[in-house]
Amino acid sequence: MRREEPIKRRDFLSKVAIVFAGAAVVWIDGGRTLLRAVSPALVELSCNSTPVVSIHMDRPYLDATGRAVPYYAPIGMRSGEPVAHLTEEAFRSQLCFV
Amino acid sequence: MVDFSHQPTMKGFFAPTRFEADVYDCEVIGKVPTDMNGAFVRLGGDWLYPPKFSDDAPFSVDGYINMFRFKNGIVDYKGRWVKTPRYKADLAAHKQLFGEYRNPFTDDPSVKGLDRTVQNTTPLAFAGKLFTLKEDSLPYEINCNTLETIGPYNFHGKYKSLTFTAHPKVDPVTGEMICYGYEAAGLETNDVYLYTINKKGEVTREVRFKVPYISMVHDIGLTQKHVIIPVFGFVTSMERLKEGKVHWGWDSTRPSYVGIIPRDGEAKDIRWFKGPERATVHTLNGRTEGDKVILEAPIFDSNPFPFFPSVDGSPWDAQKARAYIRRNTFDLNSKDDGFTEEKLFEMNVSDLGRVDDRYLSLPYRYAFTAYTDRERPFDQWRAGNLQGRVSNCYGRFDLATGKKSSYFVGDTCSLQEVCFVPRKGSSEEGDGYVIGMASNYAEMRSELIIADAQRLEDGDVARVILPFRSTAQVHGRWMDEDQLPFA
Ligand SMILES: [Fe+2]
Repeated sequence: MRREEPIKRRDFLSKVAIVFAGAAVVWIDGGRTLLRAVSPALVELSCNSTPVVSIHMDRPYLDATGRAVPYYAPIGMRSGEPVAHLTEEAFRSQLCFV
Repeated sequence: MVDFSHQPTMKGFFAPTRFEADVYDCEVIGKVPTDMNGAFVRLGGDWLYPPKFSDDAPFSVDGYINMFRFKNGIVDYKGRWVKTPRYKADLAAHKQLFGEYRNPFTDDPSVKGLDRTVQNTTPLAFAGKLFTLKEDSLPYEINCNTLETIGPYNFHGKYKSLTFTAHPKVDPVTGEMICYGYEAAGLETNDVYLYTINKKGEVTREVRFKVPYISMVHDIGLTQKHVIIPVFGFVTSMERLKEGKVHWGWDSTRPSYVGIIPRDGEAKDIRWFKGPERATVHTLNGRTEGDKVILEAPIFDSNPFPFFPSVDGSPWDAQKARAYIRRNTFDLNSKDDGFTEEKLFEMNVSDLGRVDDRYLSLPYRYAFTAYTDRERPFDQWRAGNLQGRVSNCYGRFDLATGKKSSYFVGDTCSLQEVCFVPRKGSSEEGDGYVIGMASNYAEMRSELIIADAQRLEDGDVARVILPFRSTAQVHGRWMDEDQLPFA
């Protein structure tokens, strides 16, 4: 699955509000219409489970395991990010075995 | 004051950890096979203090040895610094005293004459002892149960080279070790001393010869009849050291050379073959077929290491710093010094590849190594934007059919060097486990993955979870319980 652009919390909540305002029938199919409004990829993930959506770092997170566990971010979240901006040469200048 | 804040690469997951650790009965996801008894020993580095110079090579990082001890499905972890004279001197001074990679002229005067080695490259189990290896010095003996450093080892005074390779080869037929040192007679000498050491740890043979130019002879190939010695592009001189430069520079005008010496031969028997610009840092396997000597290796077109810059000032070329599995064939009957090269797979791979060591120097079929599959997902929102910079697969490359089978580590991880562990009681090539360390950038922790080497597509059978980041290894080796006096 390819991940789409991140969805900001504000966008997410506004879309949720619109969908809720539109009709309650969106829940008839187990919430997938709501999810589709937010992200088609989330629908793909949620097909065979009960999804739980959490907000973390201004982005929604879908638990698709079926265990209905919201996402609790570990301390090291996105720990590759601090070096992501480096050029290939700068990156490999120290990190040649990672 | 210890301050790593100005080191651009030593952040996030890659920040130094700087602690020693013991974890008993590690957390496991899945089930550790109960027929794996022994230890997976990894050697790499962690900076005790920041490098003295910002352009120093990562190869100067202080050695750190760590071990996953497997016993009947239970795994304990232990990590220790290699307590070299350099480590002790730095710790006593509370700062980095040592300068550029393998350049003593850049050191603090207080450590003049001290062994500069950091012992950060390869762990070795041989003749009942555990060693750390670094190609600029003798091996260091390590206590296999405590991982405490015992000290340099010279095989009862019979190993005369001042240096010892990080890639000795143990012949699976005879049990003897073929090893060598380059710059063997001292800094900036072009001497190589080649040794045979029997399985009791006794030196039985020494041959001294010179290479076409002083270069990094990091690895060799071994066949049942020959030793294959690649020499390529890295150059050095006393002048450049006195100018305060890092030990190696890259000279793209230098041809690569490959020396072939019979295992029972003398210096006069070496035949040097000559080829275009290449870098054969690591090898996979070699064999002799009649009058032909064959080496398979992941070979780069040019300089793989940006921290060893070009001597002519030209920029480092990331495109040429990609390794492809290639076959070099040397015809001992040929009249000229050329050899043939074939690219066996059209995809670039990690050059830290392995084979089933029971087939080293013998006809074989499978090579294992990590690679990047850009079609696989990467969750940059949980792991950080390292898409394309992660080794997300281990591949088993079938050299007979050209086919590949793959293990995918998941969308937040990157894999370090692969290791193959034979299944106990089996002699079939490739029957066993593929193991290796995964860096989980989302969870900020290291995970040892274990997969069935014949069913890589099925995913791992177990993950041993560390609740922290373990230092990046250079090389790791599986050591069976009968190889070392484990408690
Ligand atoms: Fe190596």
